[in-house]
Amino acid sequence: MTPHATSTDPVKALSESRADSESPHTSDAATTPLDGVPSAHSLTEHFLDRLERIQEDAVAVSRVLPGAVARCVQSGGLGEALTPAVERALLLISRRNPRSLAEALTPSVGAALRRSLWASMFHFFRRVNFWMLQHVSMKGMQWRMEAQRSGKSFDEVVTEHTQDSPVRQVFLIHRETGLVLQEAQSLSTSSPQDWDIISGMLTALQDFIHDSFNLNQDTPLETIKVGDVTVLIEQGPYAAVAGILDGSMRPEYATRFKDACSRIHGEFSKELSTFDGDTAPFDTCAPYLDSCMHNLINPDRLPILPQTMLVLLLPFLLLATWTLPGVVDSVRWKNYVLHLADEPGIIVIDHGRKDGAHFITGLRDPLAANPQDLLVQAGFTPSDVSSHWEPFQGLSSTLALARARRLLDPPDSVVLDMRDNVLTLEGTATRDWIRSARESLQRWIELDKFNMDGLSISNAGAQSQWLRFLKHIEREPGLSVITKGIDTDGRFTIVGLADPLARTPDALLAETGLASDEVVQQWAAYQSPDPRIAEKRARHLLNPPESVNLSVRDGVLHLEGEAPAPWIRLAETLSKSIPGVRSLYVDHLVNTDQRNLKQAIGRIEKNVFQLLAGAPDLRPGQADKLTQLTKDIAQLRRSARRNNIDFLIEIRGHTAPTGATQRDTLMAESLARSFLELLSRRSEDTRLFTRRSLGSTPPDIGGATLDKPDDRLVSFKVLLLD
Amino acid sequence: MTVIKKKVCMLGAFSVGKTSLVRQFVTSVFSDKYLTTVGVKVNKKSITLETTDMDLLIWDIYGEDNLQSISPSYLRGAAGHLLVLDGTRRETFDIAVEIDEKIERLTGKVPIVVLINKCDLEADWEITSEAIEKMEARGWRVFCTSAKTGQGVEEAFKTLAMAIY
Repeated sequence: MTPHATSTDPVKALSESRADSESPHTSDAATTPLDGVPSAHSLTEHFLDRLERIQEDAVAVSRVLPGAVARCVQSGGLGEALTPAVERALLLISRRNPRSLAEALTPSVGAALRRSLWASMFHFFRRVNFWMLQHVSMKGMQWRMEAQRSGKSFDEVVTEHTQDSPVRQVFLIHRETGLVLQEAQSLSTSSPQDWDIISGMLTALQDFIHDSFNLNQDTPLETIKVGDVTVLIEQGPYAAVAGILDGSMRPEYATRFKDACSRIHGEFSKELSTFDGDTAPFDTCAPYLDSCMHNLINPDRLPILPQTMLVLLLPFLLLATWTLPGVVDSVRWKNYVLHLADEPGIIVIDHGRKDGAHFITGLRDPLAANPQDLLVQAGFTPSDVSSHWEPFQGLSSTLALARARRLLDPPDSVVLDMRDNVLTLEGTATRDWIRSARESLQRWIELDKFNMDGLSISNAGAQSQWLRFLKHIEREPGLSVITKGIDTDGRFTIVGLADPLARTPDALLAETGLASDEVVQQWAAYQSPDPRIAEKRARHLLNPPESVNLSVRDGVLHLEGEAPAPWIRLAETLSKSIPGVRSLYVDHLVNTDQRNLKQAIGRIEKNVFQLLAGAPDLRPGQADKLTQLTKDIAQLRRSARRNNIDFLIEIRGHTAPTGATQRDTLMAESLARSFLELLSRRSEDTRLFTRRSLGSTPPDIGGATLDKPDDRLVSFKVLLLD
Repeated sequence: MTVIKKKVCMLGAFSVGKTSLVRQFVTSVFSDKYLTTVGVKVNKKSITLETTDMDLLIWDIYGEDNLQSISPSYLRGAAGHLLVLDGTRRETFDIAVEIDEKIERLTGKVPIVVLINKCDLEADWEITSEAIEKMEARGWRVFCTSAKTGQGVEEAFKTLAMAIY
């Protein structure tokens, strides 16, 4: 085996190579010169060399393969060589995966099949029509008489009257060169034209159309029609059969041309594929072209006979006549059963045909429609249908309503209705009728299945007062109605919730004038969240001073004005537990104790007292001022206590500068102590005071200075303690 | 005597005189308007060779200096080509060379006969003998023709017929 004769499959080639190498006499490269046994190293090199060459060969072959195939196509022979392989491949595909083959063929074959089916039906119709024309028509009789008169056969006369050949000339044209290979023309046609030139131009025209509209060259140009002349072209792989027709093209001619083209290609395929300008070999294909010009039945000369239509439609008419009564009966029966199924109080269990007659069985409420009446309406005779209905009590709303009407016998002023499977009674009636109806319904159905709330007693005055009472209750805050209606004695009943702060229902009832024994009331106490009631409750609970404006808006308790600190603290605590109050708003509420505290502090801190130099006493003329200071201190103590605030009053000493800072500090300290002693003598609680020396620093109060050498001052600062 | 039919194409730059040659020396049934509409006009020239008659179906292809306009479809199946030049316009030689290269790409190598037309206008002649030598070096058979006087036309047609026979 030579390296180039190996398979292109590397794996297979490798195995072949291995097989070769296993035989020590078949490969020199794998044999050592000493003992003829291949060494492992030489075998590996040999395999690698073979593998490399196989891959190189595959690459080289793939490069030249497309060109080689193209050359084979030009020189011929490839088709014949590939035919068995392609046939086998198609056979395998059709066996293994026929679906893919079908999908590939369907686009072209499907359309062709439809066309073929339609053409076959049309052809059958034409044949029937033609037969009828000859044998069952006035025209047929005329043709028979003409045949007798002229001595011609009937067929000849029929042919004369029905057939013609509008094909004037037929050509076999070489597709690639556009040259006329063969032509045929009818005897009546004179041919002054040079058909070689015309054929060339026809080919050029096809090329022009294909180029202009970007059509594939395989897309055939089938007809060209100009006025009364039609050019019919049937394209084959190498040649086209083209014909000149007078008048419109008929499908039969296309079929003939197609047939002729196929036969010519079958018989002259070699001559066509190797055509080099010599047309002599195609002289023998003239009969195929002649066949395209044979007479054909002209449909324009064959009127469509009414008899034909009748004959073709007759089977359908017979079929319809035979089946129509059954169909009508079936449809009517179906409609009757559907009608019954829709009817309340009727349940169809079974129906059908038995012994050639309809039967139906089911359940029927006595209040439901009569099935026999419906049977007559549907067009049946009751005696023709076997009907069997068992009585039952229907649960449909319509039947329940009918049953209630029969049971209650309501007056015209009462309207009965079924809403969500609940029987509702509305309107006015006498107290006795209402009582009787309630008793009947309670015996008949469950309590939650009927509603008499919409009923009112036909006593117009009491009804009006009752409605006014209900309206008052609705308007009154703190009252909430849960149910209302009429009891078994025909009295008005009302059940609800009442806030103790709201007006009493009895008071409201009294306003309406309705007697209290006409109304049965049940009120449970509750705390209403209504803002008006919430405000009442807040006012009741907090008892605000007159200076406070109280209101509840959107669940917020607003307190405005001024109030002492203890009351504000109480309001803040209690407001959290008032129903209907979510929060408290006091931004516009002034705390009077806090205000007094600030005022007292301001007055105290404005004081500056002058003391004598060298003596622990006030300079003359400040006694009243001192008295006022003690009053302000008392006020401060009161206000601080009401606000829960502790404080200290810082007594600050100031002295004119002596030049020595330490001395100044000591002198100022002495002044503060002296003033505290003064206050102590006036029975002030000294625990409230503290002292501070500010040396020669003057008080931070407008106008107070230490300019004179004997200036000795005290001032005050109130310190609030946390 | 048998009759051989061959398709040949007549090509060349715009206004070199192709249609005049056709009009004077071949059978034509169609109007020249087809040249500007369809882009081609088919004519016929019958030539008698020694033992046979040959019908040359000449596809006169509309000449434009823009070679892109030549439809490859029209060149398909041609046994040979008539390449027409204008002897008074040097550039028609360059266009002819480009046409030759294009048709060789499209249809392969086929016999080509070159007709250098308007040889009756010697005063305006621009094609030099060196250029003619270049043409012959390309394998072309070169004829100086005149559509006006008929000089060289028959020989050119006959030479092409012999080449493709």
